[in-house]
Amino acid sequence: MTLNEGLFNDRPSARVTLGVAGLMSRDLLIDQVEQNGWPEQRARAFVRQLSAETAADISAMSDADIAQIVDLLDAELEHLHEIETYAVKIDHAAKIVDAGVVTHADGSALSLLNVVASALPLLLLSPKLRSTVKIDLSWLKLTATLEAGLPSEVRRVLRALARRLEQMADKPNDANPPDDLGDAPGNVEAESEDPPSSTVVPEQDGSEDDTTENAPMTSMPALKTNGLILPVADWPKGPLSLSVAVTARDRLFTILNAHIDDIRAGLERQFPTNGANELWPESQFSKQERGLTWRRGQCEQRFNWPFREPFRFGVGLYSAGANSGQYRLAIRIQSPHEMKQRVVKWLDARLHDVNANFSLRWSAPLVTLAANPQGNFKPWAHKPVRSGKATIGAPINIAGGRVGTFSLFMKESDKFLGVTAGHIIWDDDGRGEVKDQRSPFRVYSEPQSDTPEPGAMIGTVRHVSPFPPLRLGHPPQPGSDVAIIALEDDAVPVATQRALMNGRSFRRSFFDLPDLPPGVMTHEPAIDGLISGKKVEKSTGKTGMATGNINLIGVTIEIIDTATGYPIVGTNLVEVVMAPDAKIELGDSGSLLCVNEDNQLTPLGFICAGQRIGRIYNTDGKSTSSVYSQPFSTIASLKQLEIG
Amino acid sequence: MATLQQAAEARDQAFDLLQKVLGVRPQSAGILQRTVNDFAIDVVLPREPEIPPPVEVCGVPVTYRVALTDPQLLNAPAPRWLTRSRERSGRR
Repeated sequence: MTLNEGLFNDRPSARVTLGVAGLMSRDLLIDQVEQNGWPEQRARAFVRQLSAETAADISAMSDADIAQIVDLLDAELEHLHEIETYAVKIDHAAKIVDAGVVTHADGSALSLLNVVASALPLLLLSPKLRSTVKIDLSWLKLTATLEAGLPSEVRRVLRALARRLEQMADKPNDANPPDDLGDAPGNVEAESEDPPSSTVVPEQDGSEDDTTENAPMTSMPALKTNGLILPVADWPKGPLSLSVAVTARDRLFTILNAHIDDIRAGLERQFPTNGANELWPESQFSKQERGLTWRRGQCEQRFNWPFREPFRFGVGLYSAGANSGQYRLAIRIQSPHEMKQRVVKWLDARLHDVNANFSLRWSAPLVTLAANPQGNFKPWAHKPVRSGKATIGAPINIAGGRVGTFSLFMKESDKFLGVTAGHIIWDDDGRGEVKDQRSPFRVYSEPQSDTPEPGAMIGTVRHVSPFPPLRLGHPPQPGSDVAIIALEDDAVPVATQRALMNGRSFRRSFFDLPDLPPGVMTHEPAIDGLISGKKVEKSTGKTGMATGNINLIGVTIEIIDTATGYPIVGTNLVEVVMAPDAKIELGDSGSLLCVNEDNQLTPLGFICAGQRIGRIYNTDGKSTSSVYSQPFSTIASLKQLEIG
Repeated sequence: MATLQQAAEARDQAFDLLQKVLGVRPQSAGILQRTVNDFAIDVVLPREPEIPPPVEVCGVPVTYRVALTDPQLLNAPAPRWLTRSRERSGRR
C-alpha cells in the first residue's frame, strides 16, 4: 500500500493525526506491557514487532479505509485530550510531528506505512484509557465493541492487532513472554472468535465471582510508570466480598500513590523550595481503623507543605450493611483547602465520577483539639454574654464570621479599644473583613448572622493583621496576629470590670519578656529569674478558666491556617503547657493569659494557636496540651497604648 | 551552657538543619530556660524521625517532642446556622 499524496493533500491534518496517534500508541503500549511485568527492552521489542506485523497487514487497505481510520483516530484523540494527563502527552507529540521527527524508537525514520501501523493500536487503547469499556475486557472483545460500521478491511486489521495485543496479558510472574514474538498468532481470519456481546460498559456487581474480579487485579500496574496509567473506570462497583474488596483497595492505592505527582504539579509557584528544603519521601504506613486496614500514603513533601505532607489519602473499605459481609471502597483525602477541587478533578479523570462510585470524603489536614465544635456549639455557656457589651473572656466575632474571645481593654487618650487575635477578624480568603462592604468594620459580642442584632455591635475594626505567610528558604518574617477594635462608648464597662479576669483584678502593665527578634540576637537582655515554668492563668474564653506553665519563649511555629489553607508562621510566641485537666478548644483564640506570680496576675498575652504534643524524647514521657500565646510586649501596634 | 543569644541562633537554624538531617521539618522551635543563664532549644516534630535526632544544634542542647495534633489557630468556625445565613445572603 502506498499512502498517496491525495490523502494528505485533501486533508493535511491526517499526517499529524497519524503521527500523534503513532507516538501515543507507542508510549501507551510500552507502558502497558511494562506494567504487566515485562522488562523494558522486551516491551519495546514487542511494540516494534507489533508495528511491523501490523504494517504488513494493512498493505491491502485502500485510501478510503485509511481515511476512515484517521477519522476514528481524530475522535479518539479528541476524547483523550479532555483528560489532563493525556492532553499533555498529545500536545507534546504534536510538537514532535510538527517538527517532522517521527521516528522509530531506535531513531530510524518511519515510513508512511509504518505511521499508519503505529497509529492503529490507539483505536483499541483509547477506549480502555478513557474507561468506556470494562478494564478487563479482552482485546478481542474490545475490538468487537468498536467494529460497528467499520469497513471489513479495517475490522480485519483491528482483529489481528487485538490478537497480538492479547500477548500482553501474560502474567508477570508467568515468566517470560514468548521469546519469538514472531510466533504470535497472526491469523487474521478467525471470524469465529467474535465475542457475542457488544455492550460497551457491562456492569459488574458484587455477585460475580472472585475470579472474575480478581483477574484485572493480578496485573497490577507497577509503581513506576511513565505517567500514562491504566484507567479504572470499571472499578468493581457495588458491594464486594472481602477478598475482592481488599484486592481492589490495594490496587487503587497503588495507582493513586504512583501518580500522585500529577496533583502536586503546579504547586511549585506557591511553595517554592530549594535544595536545603528538599524533604525525603514519606513512607507508607498502615493503620487499623474500625477493624479494617486502611492503607495510607502521601507524596513527597517537597514543594508543598513544609512540615506536613501536602496531600494524604487513605483507601479503605466500609461495610455495605450490617452483617452483610459485603464491602464498598472508600477514599479519604486530606489536603489543603485550595487543593480540594484539584484533587477531586484529578480523581474524577481517572476514576470517572468518583463521587458516584466511591465514598469520598475530604478534610483539611488538621485535627481539632477537642470535640467537633460544629456538632456541639454552645459557646461560652459558662459565661453569659450581655449583648452589646465587651467583656474579657467573652466571644467576639464579625457578622457571619469566625468566633474568638475578647482579650482585654486598651486605651488611647479617652478612647477605648479591644484586643483579640487577628485571624478571628481576618476574612476567609485573607482579604480582611475591613474590606467587606457588607458589614464594614463591625464587630459583635455574640455570633451574629449577616443581619445582626442592632444592639449587639461593640465596635469597629481599627487594625487587623494575621500572621505573615511562611516562605521556605527565607527567615521568618516577624508579624503579629492581632486585631484592635475601636469600641463603642456604650459597649465599655466600668473601670473595675475592665481589669477583671475571671473575677480577679490584674496589673495594668504587661509581663515583660526578653526581646527576641527572629534574626540574630544583638544583645542579651537581663532576665530576672526563670521564665520557663512560670504559672499562667487563662481567661474564660470558650472553655472556661484554666492554668498552665510557661514552657518556652521565643517560639517560631509554622501553622496551616485552616480557613485559607496557607502555611503561616508565628514568631516570638510563648508556649504554655496547660494543666492536665485544662480544656482548650476552637474558639479560645484571643483568650487572655496572665502570669501568676505570688497570686498577682500580670497580662502576658492572648492565645492564638494550640496543639497536643506527646511522646517526649529526652525529657519525660507525658503528652500535653500546649497553647501558643502572642505576648503583648512584642506587639508593635500596642506599644503606644495603655491597658484600659 | 548556652546563652540566650546562642539559643536564639540555634532556634532559627533548627528548622532547615533538622529537616535536612532527619527528613522531618520541625513544627516549632522555642527557647527553653533551664537555669537563669542556661538556655536550650526545644523542638516539636510532626512525627517520630527514623533516626535518632541530634542532641545539639549549633552547640545548643536540644530536646524533642512529637506532635499528637498539628498546631491550629483556635478561632471557632461560625456555627452552622451562621454559615447557612451567609449562603442565603449570597456571601461566600
